[in-house]
Amino acid sequence: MRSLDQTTVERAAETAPSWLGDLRQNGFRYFDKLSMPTGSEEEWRYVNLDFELSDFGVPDVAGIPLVTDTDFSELTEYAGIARLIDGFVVDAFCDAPGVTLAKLATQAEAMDSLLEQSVGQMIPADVDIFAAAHRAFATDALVVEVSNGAVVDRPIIVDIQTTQAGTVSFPHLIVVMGVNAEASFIVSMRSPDGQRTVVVPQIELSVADGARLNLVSSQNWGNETTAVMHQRMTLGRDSTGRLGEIGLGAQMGRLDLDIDLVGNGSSSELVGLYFGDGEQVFDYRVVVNHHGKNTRSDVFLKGAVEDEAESVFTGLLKIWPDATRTSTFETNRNLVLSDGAKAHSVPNLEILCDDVVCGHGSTVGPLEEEHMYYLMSRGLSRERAQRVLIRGFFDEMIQRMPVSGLEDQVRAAVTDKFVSAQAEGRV
Amino acid sequence: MDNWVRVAPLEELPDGRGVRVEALGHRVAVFRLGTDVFALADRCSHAEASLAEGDVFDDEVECPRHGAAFDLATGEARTLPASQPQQKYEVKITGGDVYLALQEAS
Repeated sequence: MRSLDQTTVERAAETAPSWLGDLRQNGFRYFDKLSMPTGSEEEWRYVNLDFELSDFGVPDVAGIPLVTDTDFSELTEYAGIARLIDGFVVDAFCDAPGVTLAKLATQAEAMDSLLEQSVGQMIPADVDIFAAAHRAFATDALVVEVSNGAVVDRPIIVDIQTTQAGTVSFPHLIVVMGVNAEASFIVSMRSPDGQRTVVVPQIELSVADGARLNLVSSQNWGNETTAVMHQRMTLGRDSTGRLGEIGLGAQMGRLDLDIDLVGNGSSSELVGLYFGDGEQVFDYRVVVNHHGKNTRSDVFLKGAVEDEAESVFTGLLKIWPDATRTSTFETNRNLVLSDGAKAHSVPNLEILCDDVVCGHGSTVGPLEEEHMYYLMSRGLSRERAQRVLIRGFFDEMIQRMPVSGLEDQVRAAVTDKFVSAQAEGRV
Repeated sequence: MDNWVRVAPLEELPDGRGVRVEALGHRVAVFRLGTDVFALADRCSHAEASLAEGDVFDDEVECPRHGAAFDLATGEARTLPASQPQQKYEVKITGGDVYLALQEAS
């Protein structure tokens, strides 16, 4: 393991191309200057981080892949699969025409221009200490370029794992969609239970004019993993980006998602679900920037919390002055299933332009007694009625995910969380 | 006449959950509870949801869509909204492999 200091950055710069060395140095300057959030910052007010990033080390090499009960080859027919272990791209192939895969650590020379144009372009290093650390210490990155007009008819699977205790790793996925290109991705993220790790993934999605991107990412980290993920998508003219976000596992799982509708006529859709139990914390922050005219976006997240778990949804729809004829909506629905659990929902609108249609809605509450009464009047026991409502609540999101393949896994995980809590009388 | 169709080795079936099996024109939900295996028609008699995706509680499976419960051993509908029993299939375990008795669907 290497520590998070100047020496590590300098040593990495020795073998890297100069543009990359400069990026790292720049990231390190911010890392040095910024400090860990204390909870007094508005963006971090619900999260308690009781560690320093420097308590952890960056892995030297990729660890041993996790033994898995879900074999991705059974999930769905796929066009390609990539494996990012402890921040290293260990495996990447795709047999669809028009798709180029570039690995930062091993192909820096051969793929220099593609890498230089895509790495470190979208997520600024100064957003927070995690983004700065990512820029300074990320060991590798996977760039997936889908060329102009290429249509990939099966999803590309990206399997991100953290395997080594005591480490902080920086998995990095960059997707560059060419003009009128079309592709789908399933990003699965996990780590073993019982191992203290920090992971700071970044996913950058650049969608050119007329392109269509579908991506589902599922955070299924172990119970002692703190995950702070940054994700950003920019959309060109008449392009479409559809995202699915699933949060099931982590000690603390945070998602910072920015969607920039830059091109006129672009549209985005985000559907998401999270389910916290034990003392889990899920913190979802979604910012949608409407810059172009005639842009539309929809954000729809559902979450549930039981035991002492806590969830946060903070959404901002920002309509910039030139974004006339914007149409946008954000919805967040939360179920609080135990007395000790908490759900916060903070949807915001910032509208700097007239001639727009905007809306937001948010709810926080227990399962509705009226629905329970209806089901029980049909002969279902109380427990059975609760299960039917929980499944129905999440099924709406599961069915709307932009890429299929994870449905059974997510359904089973959601039901398991609730059924085990029910069996132990925790809800 | 019944055909005995081999499904899988017993230890490959997940314990306490269902799997869907399609053979000879039948869609069957097969449940393993320890060393016992039960098989019912997969389509719920109420609204055609897949019982293989349902949860198993003791000796019954709960339909994932509307919560109807069926007796795993007999297929009897134990709760509304289902009122009709599920077709039940004979199962045998020979040499560690699970077999289903299926009639050729006409």
